[in-house]
Amino acid sequence: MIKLLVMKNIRDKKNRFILIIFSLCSLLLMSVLIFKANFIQMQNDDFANNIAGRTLVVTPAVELIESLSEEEFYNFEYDFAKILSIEHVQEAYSSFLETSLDTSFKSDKYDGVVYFKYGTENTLPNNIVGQKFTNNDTGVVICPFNFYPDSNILYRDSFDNYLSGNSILDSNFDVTYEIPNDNGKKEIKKRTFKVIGLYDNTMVNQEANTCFMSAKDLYNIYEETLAISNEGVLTSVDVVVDNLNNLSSVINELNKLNYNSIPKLEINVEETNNLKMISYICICFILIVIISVTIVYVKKRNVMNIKEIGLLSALGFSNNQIQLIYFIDMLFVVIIAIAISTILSIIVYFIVLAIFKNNFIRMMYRPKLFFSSYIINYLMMILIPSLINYWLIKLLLHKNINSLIKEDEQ
Amino acid sequence: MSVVKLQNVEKTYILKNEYIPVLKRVNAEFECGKLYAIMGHSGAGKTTLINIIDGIESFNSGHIIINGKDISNMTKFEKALVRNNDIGMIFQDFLLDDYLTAYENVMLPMTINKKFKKRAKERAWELLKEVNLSNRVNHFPKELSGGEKQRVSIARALANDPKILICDEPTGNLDEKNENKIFEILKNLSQMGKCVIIVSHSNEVLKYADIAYELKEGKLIEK
Ligand SMILES: Nc1ncnc2c1ncn2[C@@H]1O[C@H](COP(=O)(O)OP(=O)(O)OP(=O)(O)O)[C@@H](O)[C@H]1O
Ligand SMILES: [Mg+2]
Repeated sequence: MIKLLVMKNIRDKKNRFILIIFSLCSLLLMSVLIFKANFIQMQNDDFANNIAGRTLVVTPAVELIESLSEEEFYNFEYDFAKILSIEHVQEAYSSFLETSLDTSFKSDKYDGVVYFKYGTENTLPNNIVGQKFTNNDTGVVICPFNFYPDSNILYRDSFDNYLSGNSILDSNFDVTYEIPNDNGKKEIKKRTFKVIGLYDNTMVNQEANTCFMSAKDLYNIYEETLAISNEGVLTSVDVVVDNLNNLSSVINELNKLNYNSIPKLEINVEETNNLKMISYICICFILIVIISVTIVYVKKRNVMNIKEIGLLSALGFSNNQIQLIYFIDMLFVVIIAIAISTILSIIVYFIVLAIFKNNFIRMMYRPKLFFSSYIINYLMMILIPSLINYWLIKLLLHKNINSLIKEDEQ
Repeated sequence: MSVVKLQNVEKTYILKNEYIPVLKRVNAEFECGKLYAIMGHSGAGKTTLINIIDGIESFNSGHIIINGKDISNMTKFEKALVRNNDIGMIFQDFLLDDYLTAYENVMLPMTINKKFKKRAKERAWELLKEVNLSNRVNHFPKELSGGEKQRVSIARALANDPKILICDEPTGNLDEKNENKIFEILKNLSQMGKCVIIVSHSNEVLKYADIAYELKEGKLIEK
């Protein structure tokens, strides 16, 4: 019986129209679902992978600052031991352990400004090729696979000119910065670093111009430049928490120590809600399209099939068997539509990846195809038309068989 | 032995307060091995009568016994089983499925029949051979002439080897030559032991009928 039905479906050209519509609906639905899933994933990644997501910027509380004399203020020391002893705190370091410096990567393509971040066991990404370093190592850095040593990275239109990580691995480069000399004037200081490892910046939400440096080097550079750059400025402390969920408890603890703290990265709640809203509206819209297309088409088809239903009854098919036949009938079309849209979605995915490559690099996010989106899409595509089909046929089966057979004689 | 028995069957259509009595206490018995013709003017209720026998139309009172089973109190499902097993139906406009070939159409009622499900394919070919269509098995209905289509539907009616064949104007859409061909096949089947009931306007059927009835004013009268 099923074989006959399948043959019938393949031969019936009317099915092709609904196949196209269903495929498109399915593709659209899938796109929206995948877009939404990616958007949420991107935000989660921001927090899960980007250490900034669970980093607090800590400053002394206002009351504490007011109680300090000018002398004390300039020489203010954070109580690192106490901060580090708070439960869930992994790292605490002065925010001056992050800095932008000129490098010998400067060329006609790049301005050579590289952002150096403090890298420790807790803050270094775990997908490193090559070697890691410890706090006391010097003269070594870890840079991105696709390196873009330029300060204007966020405003670049073209990202064709990547510096391949493999070409710089194990090679040396220079970092230059100004220090005060004995005469009270500025002079250029040069240090040489070696790239000992590479990391995937998109996996940890770092810009492609960000390299990791050891605490010791960053501290030395800070000391040397202090006289010029940070004179009289109270630096903040970055506190890395082990888990997003523990942020608030750490904030509370820091409060007790008379420190103010704010998360380095904050979710843009409004943007998130808007995007979620838009995607829900899209989904509803597509569902309405699917429902109306199914009703219109199935109804039209059934009007043509009314005689067939009458015939099947006359040949001794029971109502359940007839329901099954039309269920399989619909399922057949829907499954092909699903298969087509699945293939299309994968093609579209790669096209989108290729076209918006630069945007995604800038966003430090690589879109993924989500299995769950597919499952939701499949369920909706199968359930909705099947239920509508079932219901419409049920209405017909209530009619008298005789009147069904005679239907188009009238 | 009678295989279809009508006992005081009554049928009245009700249309907006208007009563249309179609059958008035009809009594009749139909036996295997005979060909019955039911004649009558248009609107006499012939189609209504045989649809009631088929179980695809309800009736108001009386009993109908098909092959020993009283269908009056049967559920929809049980009636469907009776239709599938005991009755073969042939319609004026053939009612073949346009997207199935001749032999697939013949297979259709066998796909849900316990007895013939397994050898549906071979049996469909045999039946088409019996109605002289062995060279048309893979043709679609639109590629067949009216006479050929009606022969396909005869083969389909025979699919589950029913005792009863019910034909509503089987030759209504056919020319005289094809009409006689169909009647000959049906006559043959009755001689082979089927109970064949033919509703027809055509007097040709009288040449083949063992017993002819006229449906007049809601009663079956033997001619
Ligand atoms: N579903 C229905 N509802 C109401 N009246 C009906 C219905 N079906 C048939 N009738 C009426 O019942 C009467 C008998 O109809 P039926 O179709 O049985 O006649 P018939 O003898 O087969 O006629 P024909 O030779 O034209 O086919 C007619 O008067 C018809 O109008
Ligand atoms: Mg009639």
